[in-house]
Amino acid sequence: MRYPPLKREEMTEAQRRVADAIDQRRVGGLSGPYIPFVYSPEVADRAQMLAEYLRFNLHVPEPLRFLSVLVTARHQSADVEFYVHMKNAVVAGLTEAKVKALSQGRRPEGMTDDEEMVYDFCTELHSTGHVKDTTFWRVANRFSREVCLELTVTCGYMALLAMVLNVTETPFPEGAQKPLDPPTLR
Amino acid sequence: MTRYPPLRREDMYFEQRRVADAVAERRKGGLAGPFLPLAYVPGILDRLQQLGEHLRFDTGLPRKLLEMAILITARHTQAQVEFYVHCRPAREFGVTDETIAALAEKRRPDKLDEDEALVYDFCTELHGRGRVSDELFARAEKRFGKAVILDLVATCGYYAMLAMVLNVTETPLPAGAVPPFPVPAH
Repeated sequence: MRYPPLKREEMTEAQRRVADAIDQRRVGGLSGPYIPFVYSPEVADRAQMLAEYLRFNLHVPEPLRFLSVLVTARHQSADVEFYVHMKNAVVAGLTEAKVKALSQGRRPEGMTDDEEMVYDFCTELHSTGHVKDTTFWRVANRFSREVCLELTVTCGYMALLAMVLNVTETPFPEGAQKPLDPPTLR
Repeated sequence: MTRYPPLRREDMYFEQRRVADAVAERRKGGLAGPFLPLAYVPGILDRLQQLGEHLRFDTGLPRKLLEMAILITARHTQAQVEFYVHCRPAREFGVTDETIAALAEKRRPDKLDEDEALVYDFCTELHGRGRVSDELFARAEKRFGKAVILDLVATCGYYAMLAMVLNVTETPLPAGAVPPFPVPAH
Protein backbone atom coordinates (compact mmCIF):
# COMPACT_ATOMS: atom_id res chain seq x y z
CA MET A 1 0.00 0.00 0.00
CA ARG A 2 1.54 3.28 -1.11
CA TYR A 3 -0.17 5.48 1.50
CA PRO A 4 -1.26 3.58 4.60
CA PRO A 5 -3.91 5.70 6.36
CA LEU A 6 -2.21 7.74 9.08
CA LYS A 7 -3.25 6.90 12.60
CA ARG A 8 -4.01 9.91 14.77
CA GLU A 9 -1.04 9.29 17.02
CA GLU A 10 1.29 9.13 13.99
CA MET A 11 0.19 12.51 12.66
CA THR A 12 2.20 15.69 13.00
CA GLU A 13 0.41 18.64 14.52
CA ALA A 14 -0.25 20.12 11.06
CA GLN A 15 -1.61 16.83 9.74
CA ARG A 16 -3.94 16.47 12.72
CA ARG A 17 -5.22 20.03 12.38
CA VAL A 18 -6.02 19.59 8.67
CA ALA A 19 -7.46 16.08 9.10
CA ASP A 20 -9.83 17.44 11.75
CA ALA A 21 -10.75 20.51 9.69
CA ILE A 22 -11.58 18.48 6.57
CA ASP A 23 -13.43 15.91 8.64
CA GLN A 24 -15.65 18.65 10.07
CA ARG A 25 -16.35 20.80 7.04
CA ARG A 26 -16.53 18.23 4.26
CA VAL A 27 -19.72 16.35 3.41
CA GLY A 28 -18.51 12.76 3.75
CA GLY A 29 -15.83 13.78 6.23
CA LEU A 30 -12.21 12.74 5.85
CA SER A 31 -12.51 10.03 3.22
CA GLY A 32 -11.45 9.01 -0.30
CA PRO A 33 -8.45 10.90 -1.68
CA TYR A 34 -8.25 13.19 1.35
CA ILE A 35 -7.08 10.32 3.58
CA PRO A 36 -3.73 9.98 1.75
CA PHE A 37 -3.73 13.67 0.84
CA VAL A 38 -3.13 14.67 4.51
CA TYR A 39 0.39 13.30 4.20
CA SER A 40 0.91 16.81 2.73
CA PRO A 41 -1.51 18.70 4.96
CA GLU A 42 -1.27 22.26 3.72
CA VAL A 43 -1.79 21.23 0.09
CA ALA A 44 -4.73 19.00 1.07
CA ASP A 45 -6.31 21.85 3.04
CA ARG A 46 -6.12 24.40 0.24
CA ALA A 47 -7.13 21.90 -2.44
CA GLN A 48 -10.18 20.84 -0.46
CA MET A 49 -11.34 24.45 -0.03
CA LEU A 50 -11.34 24.84 -3.80
CA ALA A 51 -13.16 21.51 -4.16
CA GLU A 52 -15.80 22.60 -1.68
CA TYR A 53 -16.50 25.73 -3.70
CA LEU A 54 -16.67 23.82 -6.98
CA ARG A 55 -19.11 21.36 -5.51
CA PHE A 56 -21.64 23.80 -4.10
CA ASN A 57 -21.35 27.18 -5.78
CA LEU A 58 -21.32 26.76 -9.54
CA HIS A 59 -23.82 28.12 -12.01
CA VAL A 60 -23.49 24.93 -14.03
CA PRO A 61 -26.72 22.87 -13.98
CA GLU A 62 -26.20 19.68 -11.93
CA PRO A 63 -26.46 17.08 -14.72
CA LEU A 64 -23.89 19.04 -16.69
CA ARG A 65 -21.56 19.41 -13.72
CA PHE A 66 -21.64 15.62 -13.29
CA LEU A 67 -21.07 15.21 -17.01
CA SER A 68 -17.85 17.26 -16.74
CA VAL A 69 -16.71 15.19 -13.74
CA LEU A 70 -17.34 11.86 -15.48
CA VAL A 71 -15.60 12.94 -18.69
CA THR A 72 -12.61 13.94 -16.57
CA ALA A 73 -12.55 10.70 -14.55
CA ARG A 74 -12.69 8.68 -17.77
CA HIS A 75 -9.94 10.76 -19.36
CA GLN A 76 -7.72 10.20 -16.32
CA SER A 77 -8.61 6.51 -16.04
CA ALA A 78 -9.69 7.06 -12.44
CA ASP A 79 -12.08 4.25 -11.54
CA VAL A 80 -12.67 5.51 -8.00
CA GLU A 81 -13.57 9.00 -9.16
CA PHE A 82 -15.93 7.71 -11.82
CA TYR A 83 -17.54 5.26 -9.42
CA VAL A 84 -18.25 7.70 -6.60
CA HIS A 85 -19.95 10.15 -8.99
CA MET A 86 -21.88 7.88 -11.33
CA LYS A 87 -24.86 7.13 -9.10
CA ASN A 88 -25.41 10.75 -8.19
CA ALA A 89 -25.02 11.66 -11.86
CA VAL A 90 -28.05 9.51 -12.62
CA VAL A 91 -29.96 10.98 -9.67
CA ALA A 92 -29.09 14.45 -11.00
CA GLY A 93 -30.55 13.56 -14.40
CA LEU A 94 -27.97 11.95 -16.67
CA THR A 95 -29.38 8.70 -18.05
CA GLU A 96 -27.76 5.36 -17.25
CA ALA A 97 -27.12 4.75 -20.94
CA LYS A 98 -25.15 7.98 -21.17
CA VAL A 99 -23.15 7.19 -18.05
CA LYS A 100 -22.38 3.75 -19.51
CA ALA A 101 -21.14 5.29 -22.76
CA LEU A 102 -18.93 7.71 -20.82
CA SER A 103 -17.47 4.83 -18.78
CA GLN A 104 -16.41 3.21 -22.06
CA GLY A 105 -14.94 6.43 -23.43
CA ARG A 106 -17.64 6.70 -26.10
CA ARG A 107 -19.61 9.79 -27.08
CA PRO A 108 -23.10 9.17 -25.63
CA GLU A 109 -25.96 8.99 -28.11
CA GLY A 110 -29.06 11.12 -27.80
CA MET A 111 -27.53 13.91 -25.75
CA THR A 112 -29.51 17.10 -25.27
CA ASP A 113 -28.07 20.26 -26.83
CA ASP A 114 -26.79 21.35 -23.41
CA GLU A 115 -25.13 18.00 -22.74
CA GLU A 116 -23.57 17.96 -26.17
CA MET A 117 -21.95 21.37 -25.83
CA VAL A 118 -20.56 20.57 -22.38
CA TYR A 119 -19.33 17.16 -23.54
CA ASP A 120 -17.51 18.81 -26.45
CA PHE A 121 -16.08 21.53 -24.22
CA CYS A 122 -14.63 19.10 -21.66
CA THR A 123 -13.44 16.56 -24.22
CA GLU A 124 -11.59 19.16 -26.26
CA LEU A 125 -10.12 20.68 -23.14
CA HIS A 126 -8.68 17.38 -21.93
CA SER A 127 -7.38 16.24 -25.28
CA THR A 128 -5.75 19.48 -26.47
CA GLY A 129 -5.64 21.80 -23.44
CA HIS A 130 -7.69 24.25 -25.53
CA VAL A 131 -11.31 24.84 -26.56
CA LYS A 132 -12.22 25.85 -30.10
CA ASP A 133 -14.00 29.16 -30.72
CA THR A 134 -17.23 27.51 -31.82
CA THR A 135 -17.25 25.29 -28.73
CA PHE A 136 -16.41 28.14 -26.38
CA TRP A 137 -19.06 30.50 -27.72
CA ARG A 138 -21.72 27.84 -27.82
CA VAL A 139 -21.39 27.43 -24.05
CA ALA A 140 -20.78 31.13 -23.40
CA ASN A 141 -23.86 32.16 -25.39
CA ARG A 142 -26.11 29.48 -23.92
CA PHE A 143 -24.88 30.03 -20.34
CA SER A 144 -22.13 32.59 -19.71
CA ARG A 145 -18.39 33.22 -19.72
CA GLU A 146 -18.46 32.48 -16.02
CA VAL A 147 -19.84 29.01 -16.69
CA CYS A 148 -17.02 28.40 -19.19
CA LEU A 149 -14.49 29.20 -16.46
CA GLU A 150 -16.34 27.09 -13.91
CA LEU A 151 -16.32 24.10 -16.27
CA THR A 152 -12.63 24.62 -17.05
CA VAL A 153 -11.64 24.68 -13.39
CA THR A 154 -13.91 21.72 -12.59
CA CYS A 155 -12.17 19.67 -15.30
CA GLY A 156 -8.80 20.86 -14.00
CA TYR A 157 -9.50 20.15 -10.37
CA MET A 158 -11.10 16.75 -10.93
CA ALA A 159 -8.07 15.82 -13.05
CA LEU A 160 -5.78 16.84 -10.20
CA LEU A 161 -7.83 14.78 -7.76
CA ALA A 162 -7.81 11.82 -10.17
CA MET A 163 -4.01 11.94 -10.20
CA VAL A 164 -3.98 11.94 -6.40
CA LEU A 165 -6.35 8.95 -6.35
CA ASN A 166 -4.30 7.06 -8.92
CA VAL A 167 -0.86 7.82 -7.50
CA THR A 168 -1.88 7.08 -3.90
CA GLU A 169 -3.81 4.01 -5.07
CA THR A 170 -6.75 5.05 -2.93
CA PRO A 171 -8.67 1.80 -2.43
CA PHE A 172 -11.77 1.05 -4.44
CA PRO A 173 -14.95 0.50 -2.36
CA GLU A 174 -15.03 -3.17 -1.33
CA GLY A 175 -17.16 -5.47 -3.45
CA ALA A 176 -17.94 -2.80 -6.04
CA GLN A 177 -17.27 -3.44 -9.71
CA LYS A 178 -14.83 -1.13 -11.46
CA PRO A 179 -16.83 0.94 -13.95
CA LEU A 180 -14.19 1.84 -16.55
CA ASP A 181 -14.00 -0.50 -19.53
CA PRO A 182 -11.32 -0.71 -20.79
CA PRO A 183 -9.47 0.35 -17.61
CA THR A 184 -7.16 2.71 -19.54
CA LEU A 185 -7.49 4.43 -22.89
CA ARG A 186 -3.98 5.82 -23.26
CA MET B 1 -14.13 38.42 -30.23
CA THR B 2 -12.23 38.70 -26.94
CA ARG B 3 -13.33 35.90 -24.67
CA TYR B 4 -12.62 37.71 -21.38
CA PRO B 5 -12.26 41.48 -21.71
CA PRO B 6 -10.35 42.67 -18.61
CA LEU B 7 -12.82 43.78 -15.96
CA ARG B 8 -12.61 47.46 -15.14
CA ARG B 9 -12.63 48.29 -11.47
CA GLU B 10 -15.80 50.36 -11.86
CA ASP B 11 -17.57 47.35 -13.38
CA MET B 12 -16.69 44.92 -10.58
CA TYR B 13 -19.27 43.89 -8.02
CA PHE B 14 -18.33 43.84 -4.34
CA GLU B 15 -16.91 40.31 -4.11
CA GLN B 16 -14.93 40.75 -7.34
CA ARG B 17 -13.33 43.89 -5.95
CA ARG B 18 -12.65 42.34 -2.57
CA VAL B 19 -10.88 39.30 -4.03
CA ALA B 20 -9.12 41.23 -6.81
CA ASP B 21 -7.69 43.59 -4.18
CA ALA B 22 -6.69 40.73 -1.87
CA VAL B 23 -4.88 38.87 -4.66
CA ALA B 24 -3.21 42.05 -5.92
CA GLU B 25 -1.98 42.63 -2.37
CA ARG B 26 -0.67 39.16 -1.51
CA ARG B 27 0.60 37.97 -4.88
CA LYS B 28 4.12 38.98 -5.95
CA GLY B 29 3.12 39.83 -9.53
CA GLY B 30 -0.21 41.35 -8.51
CA LEU B 31 -3.46 40.60 -10.31
CA ALA B 32 -2.01 39.53 -13.66
CA GLY B 33 -1.87 36.68 -16.17
CA PRO B 34 -4.57 34.03 -15.63
CA PHE B 35 -5.74 35.74 -12.45
CA LEU B 36 -7.17 38.68 -14.42
CA PRO B 37 -9.87 36.69 -16.25
CA LEU B 38 -10.41 34.55 -13.14
CA ALA B 39 -11.80 37.69 -11.49
CA TYR B 40 -14.98 36.91 -13.44
CA VAL B 41 -15.50 34.15 -10.83
CA PRO B 42 -14.00 35.57 -7.63
CA GLY B 43 -14.79 32.49 -5.50
CA ILE B 44 -12.55 30.42 -7.76
CA LEU B 45 -9.88 33.12 -8.12
CA ASP B 46 -9.47 33.34 -4.35
CA ARG B 47 -9.16 29.62 -3.68
CA LEU B 48 -7.13 28.75 -6.78
CA GLN B 49 -4.57 31.43 -6.06
CA GLN B 50 -4.16 30.34 -2.43
CA LEU B 51 -3.45 26.80 -3.55
CA GLY B 52 -0.99 28.02 -6.20
CA GLU B 53 0.86 30.30 -3.84
CA HIS B 54 1.56 27.45 -1.46
CA LEU B 55 2.62 25.05 -4.21
CA ARG B 56 4.99 27.58 -5.71
CA PHE B 57 6.70 28.81 -2.57
CA ASP B 58 6.16 26.48 0.35
CA THR B 59 6.34 22.79 -0.47
CA GLY B 60 9.20 20.38 0.15
CA LEU B 61 10.00 20.16 -3.55
CA PRO B 62 13.26 21.97 -4.50
CA ARG B 63 12.50 25.06 -6.62
CA LYS B 64 14.55 23.92 -9.60
CA LEU B 65 12.60 20.67 -9.80
CA LEU B 66 9.32 22.50 -9.28
CA GLU B 67 10.06 24.79 -12.22
CA MET B 68 10.95 21.78 -14.33
CA ALA B 69 7.65 20.12 -13.47
CA ILE B 70 5.85 23.31 -14.48
CA LEU B 71 7.58 23.43 -17.88
CA ILE B 72 6.71 19.78 -18.57
CA THR B 73 3.11 20.47 -17.57
CA ALA B 74 2.88 23.62 -19.70
CA ARG B 75 4.20 21.73 -22.70
CA HIS B 76 1.80 18.85 -22.15
CA THR B 77 -1.20 21.18 -21.98
CA GLN B 78 0.06 23.30 -24.89
CA ALA B 79 0.12 26.47 -22.81
CA GLN B 80 2.58 28.83 -24.48
CA VAL B 81 2.08 31.57 -21.90
CA GLU B 82 2.75 29.31 -18.93
CA PHE B 83 5.88 27.88 -20.54
CA TYR B 84 7.14 31.31 -21.56
CA VAL B 85 6.62 32.89 -18.16
CA HIS B 86 8.32 30.03 -16.31
CA CYS B 87 11.46 29.92 -18.48
CA ARG B 88 13.00 32.71 -16.43
CA PRO B 89 12.57 31.21 -12.95
CA ALA B 90 13.58 27.82 -14.38
CA ARG B 91 16.89 29.32 -15.57
CA GLU B 92 17.38 31.22 -12.32
CA PHE B 93 17.08 28.02 -10.32
CA GLY B 94 19.50 26.15 -12.54
CA VAL B 95 17.61 24.45 -15.37
CA THR B 96 19.91 24.73 -18.39
CA ASP B 97 18.98 26.34 -21.71
CA GLU B 98 19.53 22.98 -23.44
CA THR B 99 17.06 21.31 -21.11
CA ILE B 100 14.48 24.04 -21.60
CA ALA B 101 14.85 23.81 -25.38
CA ALA B 102 14.35 20.04 -25.28
CA LEU B 103 11.25 20.35 -23.10
CA ALA B 104 9.81 22.90 -25.53
CA GLU B 105 10.32 20.34 -28.30
CA LYS B 106 8.69 17.67 -26.17
CA ARG B 107 11.73 15.44 -26.10
CA ARG B 108 13.74 14.00 -23.22
CA PRO B 109 16.66 16.35 -22.50
CA ASP B 110 20.09 14.74 -23.06
CA LYS B 111 21.88 15.81 -19.92
CA LEU B 112 19.83 15.45 -16.78
CA ASP B 113 21.13 14.96 -13.27
CA GLU B 114 19.54 12.23 -11.20
CA ASP B 115 16.87 14.44 -9.63
CA GLU B 116 15.95 16.05 -12.94
CA ALA B 117 15.67 12.64 -14.62
CA LEU B 118 13.38 11.43 -11.87
CA VAL B 119 11.11 14.47 -12.10
CA TYR B 120 11.08 14.27 -15.89
CA ASP B 121 10.07 10.61 -15.86
CA PHE B 122 7.51 11.09 -13.10
CA CYS B 123 5.72 14.10 -14.63
CA THR B 124 5.81 12.71 -18.14
CA GLU B 125 4.25 9.44 -17.05
CA LEU B 126 1.72 11.19 -14.80
CA HIS B 127 0.50 13.43 -17.61
CA GLY B 128 0.63 10.66 -20.16
CA ARG B 129 -1.25 8.00 -18.23
CA GLY B 130 -2.77 9.75 -15.21
CA ARG B 131 -0.73 7.48 -12.90
CA VAL B 132 2.82 6.22 -12.29
CA SER B 133 4.31 2.72 -12.23
CA ASP B 134 5.46 0.97 -9.04
CA GLU B 135 9.07 1.26 -10.15
CA LEU B 136 8.80 5.01 -10.62
CA PHE B 137 6.85 5.50 -7.41
CA ALA B 138 9.54 3.59 -5.48
CA ARG B 139 12.30 5.73 -7.00
CA ALA B 140 10.45 8.92 -6.11
CA GLU B 141 9.63 7.71 -2.61
CA LYS B 142 13.25 6.86 -1.91
CA ARG B 143 14.40 10.30 -2.99
CA PHE B 144 11.56 12.56 -1.83
CA GLY B 145 9.22 10.67 0.50
CA LYS B 146 5.46 10.29 0.32
CA ALA B 147 4.52 13.86 1.23
CA VAL B 148 6.70 15.51 -1.43
CA ILE B 149 5.39 13.08 -4.05
CA LEU B 150 1.95 14.50 -3.32
CA ASP B 151 3.35 18.02 -3.66
CA LEU B 152 4.73 17.06 -7.07
CA VAL B 153 1.43 15.49 -8.16
CA ALA B 154 -0.52 18.53 -6.96
CA THR B 155 1.94 20.81 -8.77
CA CYS B 156 1.39 18.96 -12.05
CA GLY B 157 -2.37 19.05 -11.49
CA TYR B 158 -2.48 22.69 -10.46
CA TYR B 159 -0.35 23.98 -13.33
CA ALA B 160 -2.36 21.89 -15.80
CA MET B 161 -5.51 23.51 -14.40
CA LEU B 162 -3.93 26.96 -14.68
CA ALA B 163 -2.78 26.16 -18.23
CA MET B 164 -6.37 25.31 -19.16
CA VAL B 165 -7.49 28.64 -17.70
CA LEU B 166 -4.80 30.49 -19.69
CA ASN B 167 -5.76 28.67 -22.88
CA VAL B 168 -9.53 28.97 -22.50
CA THR B 169 -9.35 32.66 -21.58
CA GLU B 170 -6.80 33.25 -24.36
CA THR B 171 -4.54 35.17 -22.01
CA PRO B 172 -1.99 36.81 -24.36
CA LEU B 173 1.79 36.34 -24.36
CA PRO B 174 3.68 39.43 -23.18
CA ALA B 175 4.13 41.95 -26.03
CA GLY B 176 7.04 41.04 -28.29
CA ALA B 177 7.45 37.56 -26.81
CA VAL B 178 8.39 34.73 -29.16
CA PRO B 179 6.13 31.69 -28.59
CA PRO B 180 8.28 28.89 -27.12
CA PHE B 181 6.62 26.23 -29.30
CA PRO B 182 3.91 26.14 -31.95
CA VAL B 183 0.35 25.16 -31.06
CA PRO B 184 -1.57 23.50 -33.88
CA ALA B 185 -4.92 24.98 -34.82
CA HIS B 186 -7.36 23.40 -32.40
